[in-house]
Amino acid sequence: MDSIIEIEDLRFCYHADRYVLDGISLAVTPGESVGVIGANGVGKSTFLKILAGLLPEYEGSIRIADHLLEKKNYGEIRRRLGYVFQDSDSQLFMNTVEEDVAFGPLNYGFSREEADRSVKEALRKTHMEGLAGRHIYRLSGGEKKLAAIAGILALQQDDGVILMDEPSVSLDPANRENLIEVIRGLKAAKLLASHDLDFIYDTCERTILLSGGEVVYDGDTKRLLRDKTLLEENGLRLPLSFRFPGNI
Amino acid sequence: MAKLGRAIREIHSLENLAERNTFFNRIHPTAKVLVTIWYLILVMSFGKYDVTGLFGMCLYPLILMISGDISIGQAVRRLKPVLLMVFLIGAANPFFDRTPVLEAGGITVTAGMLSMLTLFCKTGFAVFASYVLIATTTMEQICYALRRLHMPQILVTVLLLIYRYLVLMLKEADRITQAYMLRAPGEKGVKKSAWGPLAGQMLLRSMDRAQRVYESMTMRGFRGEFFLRGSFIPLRQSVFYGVVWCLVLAVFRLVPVFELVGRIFIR
Amino acid sequence: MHMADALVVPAVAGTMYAASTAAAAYSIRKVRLENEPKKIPAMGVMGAFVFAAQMINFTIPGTGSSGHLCGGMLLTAMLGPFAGFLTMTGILLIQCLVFADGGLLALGCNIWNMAFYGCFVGGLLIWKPFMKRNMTKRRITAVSVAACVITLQMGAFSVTLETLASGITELPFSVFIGAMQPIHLAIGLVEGLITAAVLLFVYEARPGMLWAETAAKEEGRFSFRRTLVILAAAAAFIGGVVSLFASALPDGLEWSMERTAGTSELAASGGAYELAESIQGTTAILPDYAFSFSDSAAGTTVSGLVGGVLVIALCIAACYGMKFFRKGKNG
Repeated sequence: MDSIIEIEDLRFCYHADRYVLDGISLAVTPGESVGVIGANGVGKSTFLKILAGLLPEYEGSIRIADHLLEKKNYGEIRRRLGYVFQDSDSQLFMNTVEEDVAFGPLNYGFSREEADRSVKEALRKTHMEGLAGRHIYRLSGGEKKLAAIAGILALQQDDGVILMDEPSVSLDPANRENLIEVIRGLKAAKLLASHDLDFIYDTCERTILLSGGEVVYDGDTKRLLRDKTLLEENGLRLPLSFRFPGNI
Repeated sequence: MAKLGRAIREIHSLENLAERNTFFNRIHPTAKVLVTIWYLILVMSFGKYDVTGLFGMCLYPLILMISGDISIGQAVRRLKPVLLMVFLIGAANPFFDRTPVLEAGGITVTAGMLSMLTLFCKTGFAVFASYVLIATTTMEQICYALRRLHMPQILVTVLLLIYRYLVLMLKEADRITQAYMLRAPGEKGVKKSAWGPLAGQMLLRSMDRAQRVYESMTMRGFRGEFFLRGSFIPLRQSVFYGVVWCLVLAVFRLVPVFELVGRIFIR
Repeated sequence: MHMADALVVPAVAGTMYAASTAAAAYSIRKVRLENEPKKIPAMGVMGAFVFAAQMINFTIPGTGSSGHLCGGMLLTAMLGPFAGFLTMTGILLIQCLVFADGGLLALGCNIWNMAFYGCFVGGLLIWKPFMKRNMTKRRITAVSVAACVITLQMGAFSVTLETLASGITELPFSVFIGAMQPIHLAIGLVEGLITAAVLLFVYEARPGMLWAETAAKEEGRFSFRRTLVILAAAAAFIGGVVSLFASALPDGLEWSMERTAGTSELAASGGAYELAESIQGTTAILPDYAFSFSDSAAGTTVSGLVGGVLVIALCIAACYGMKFFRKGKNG
């Protein structure tokens, strides 16, 4: 199966003295759900931002949907790649849900009718149909997260990439469950950076552990999250789900 | 700082009003904006002693408020911000202008009183007319109207963004000041040592947010234009509404309608 | 300082709208030339921030009262004068529509009195030349206070001029000025100090965030000496206008007597007098309904009142009747 993301020897530094990412190589297949975990400051968000094209001065090679990640391809790539920010309010800058979700399609030249159809479909996938006309600032945290995802889905349909930075932060249990269900239903390839290891367990079959600028583990989520030693060596702790084995 | 909480509630209440599905809400916003401006120009063009003529202009806001179920009490409350300045300026008139105009029932009405009255009436009518506009038209629709009236795109975009983030900022300011008050009981405001840090931190966070907004806009292909839309009653109905009101208002400006009607009953 | 609609006549409002539109058009051009797409979301978010921050009470030490931030100065220091002006325009429009703070017709005046002076004068004439060479904490404080004081004085003075040119008040010029200027001097001082405190905080945390035109581009255009000359000329002009008004305009009572009694004698004459009169003449777009001072005035008033009550009652009845009818149809 052809990869939708191909990363070769990615290196990145903010300041000349220290490389935050120092030689990362991996590939993601269409529809795959990959968790990105690691201690604070290890570079999870940086990694996602590089893939989104928000930090263009990287070293190495990145290909997304067969396009090399460079400025001249940003338009094409961003048609297929979406980024869900940790702070949803920064991402939802129109006044109502449907206006915001239609923002991407209209910018990419969809006609009004096509845009409306995409919006409807995207809201359906995220269970937000009833909130189409609602003002953004009246949405709950969970609803904002879903609105942000809908905005991405409206543009890329099913065959793209969705990057999520700390998606479960400040969500109450019900919204969290809802988000997990929505993410599981998305056909796009997904990269989720999160501290919430239980959330990663519920949404990603594959997980990458970053530490010291490198990929220390890349494989099955369950096996990683059970490995107390490996987690603790890299600044993490066992997720709650795995502390009480009887519950699984 | 109860101001912040009140501001948030005011925005919510206006949006609730403007989002109703009444006839006036569905008139094309450009028509409503133009009628409002025309009304304001006509009202302000009345001479300072023309009380009876001016009085006739009360019908526009009155009819719209009653037909559109808009609370007159709320409209009166909106006089608050401009009341002080207008009152101080207007109340001076009877003192400085004591030319007698007419005697009625033993009371001498002076020119100063008349000019004060017209000033107050004009203030009230203007505030009510603006209230009627914003109570039947959402901010997005007003921006749509402004765009149709050829206001530059950049200004409309900035307007929409300010409005979008306004409630967020008001809530954040509210939280920050509440947190401050909890640790500084008895103080009515932010003291000097906290002037810089309190507002400064909020400012820096706002700039960071602006950076993120910019990033998410570019991620979704922003090219400098916000696409606005609306669903209104058929255009010719809105045009008819606009033309009729403009003509009626012009008639009331040129012709002393009230006086003519009154003369029918008084010889 | 937000002016209500009733304080201006259409001619004055229209003039100020034209002036503000010109300033806005110029600002848009300059912002487009700067070509920093990042600025647009910054204008929006900062506009919302300033809006909210201006509602925070900052206690003035020693007194029991509080002051607020100077939005125009803050925006100029963060975004530059042109982006700052456009943002202030947005803020004033939303304040006018949503909070009835200032009238829609008077918006042109308010934009000029607050945004133009605050951003163009405060930003271009004061902030920029002083910050160009070197940005220090002392300079930031001094410039912030000076700019706030000066721009508020100019704004308050403009409010007076616009109100008097509209002829809606009998307040003599001297009384009006005597009230407006000192109050706004105090306000300007306080706002300047508060704004300075915030800017100093930003300067210490992230100095690069404060707007400072790079010297290379605008070399020689605005020198300190030139700024002084401009300010001095402005002061002389304002002073000249003041004395002209003071000598030419009779006090309010005589002025209104002239107008209403219609005597051919003018108590004083002078350029300002005729100017004011011609402005007033043009403010009546449509012919005024003549108001004569005689017994017929009483008759006019009574018929007007009676007719008014009748027509209003009829309209109210019609409105409620229609609402009832519509409810009956739907219910």
